[in-house]
Amino acid sequence: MGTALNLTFIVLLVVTALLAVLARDLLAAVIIFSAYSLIMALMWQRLQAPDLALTEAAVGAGVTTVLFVVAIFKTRRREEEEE
Amino acid sequence: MVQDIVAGAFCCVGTFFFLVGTTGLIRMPDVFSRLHPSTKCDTLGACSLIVGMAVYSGWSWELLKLIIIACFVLLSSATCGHAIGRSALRGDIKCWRRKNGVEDGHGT
Amino acid sequence: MISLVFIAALFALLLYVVANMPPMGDPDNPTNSSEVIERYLEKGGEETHADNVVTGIIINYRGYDTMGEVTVIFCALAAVLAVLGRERRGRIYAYVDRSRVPSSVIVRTMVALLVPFIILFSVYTILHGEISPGGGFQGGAIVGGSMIVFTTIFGLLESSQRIPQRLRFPLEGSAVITFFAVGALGLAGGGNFLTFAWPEIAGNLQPSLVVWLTVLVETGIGLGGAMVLISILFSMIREEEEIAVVP
Repeated sequence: MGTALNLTFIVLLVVTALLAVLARDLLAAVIIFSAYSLIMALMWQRLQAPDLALTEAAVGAGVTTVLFVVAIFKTRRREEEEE
Repeated sequence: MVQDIVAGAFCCVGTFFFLVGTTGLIRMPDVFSRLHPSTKCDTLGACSLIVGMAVYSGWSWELLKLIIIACFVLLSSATCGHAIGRSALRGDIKCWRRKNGVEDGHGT
Repeated sequence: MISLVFIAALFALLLYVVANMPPMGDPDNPTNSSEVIERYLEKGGEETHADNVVTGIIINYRGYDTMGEVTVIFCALAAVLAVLGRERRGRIYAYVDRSRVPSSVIVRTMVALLVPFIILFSVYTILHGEISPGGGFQGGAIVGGSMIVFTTIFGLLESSQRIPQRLRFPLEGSAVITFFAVGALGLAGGGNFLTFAWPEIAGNLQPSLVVWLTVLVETGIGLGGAMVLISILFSMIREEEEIAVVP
């Protein structure tokens, strides 16, 4: 049971990380990245590191997401197209 | 024993609503109709889970914490849904219409 | 495409490694044979007087690490301010919501209702960090997050009146300053730098003194972190507001 949950978390983590890298829409990438942070916080909690879980949830999912969004709205939302 | 069954039942209800809400979030066509199932996730789903946990924990300090969490989830998720819906409406996001119907209806 | 294949291969490798990791909580794990852990767990309570071993390690045993981290956060603020500059002091801003949709009464009321509770929770996180999980960093980040929510809804004008620049300016460095001051206090007491306890002077008061110094450092880190995050946010969003300066 525990292993299955851990594996689910790891798979979700990798999927969100991949999607965050591959997303062309930078706003979507930021939102996916905040989901990644949330899953990471859950994983820290499962690894019995509540301090890190709190940090990850507050900084990763909360503050950096907003800062990224502000940065996107100050620049461009779309990634530059190749060629 | 009864406590466990009731708690499990509430958790099942919560999980069901999360499943339905997520399915709706994926299947629905536009912002407004997606907002409908996704707020169900937060209110009904999360609150059923919290009620289940509260039943499971019995009379203790955890109960108080769970009540506070439930209040926070109810207030913040409802406000969040309102804010998203309002900004979508004011931001001229078009409502989804059936293909053979009126194509470009503004959200009213 | 090649990168995808590479990432997939890396993923498989990492999964394989994770599957072969020693089980969690096993007493025979390689990390458990280290002498440091024994020392932390056996002597940590009486040496740092922190009920939470993690806090004891972060503030006390690994004090130099934490001081470096605090300095890194401060340097991040310095870099952001060097690039973007601070929001102007004393200029009149007119609040213009650039998102075209003014925030509604419901959202304003809810944010005004919830933000004080979030700040209360962060104060709890900071002050209780010595006993339970949490501490200065976490609490500071929560304060920063709540003020970010407040700024998003009420605008820069309102929130920079609530936390004016003359209040933030001295507090931004408070993390580094508190840590350094407490460390130097150890020097003054005849111990080493960052010695929280010097029994020959404090005597019986030493345990409670260490606890109070820990709380002091945590509070300093919390205030400093919060102010750094708020200042970074303000300096990032300031330009939008300055466009709308009342002539």
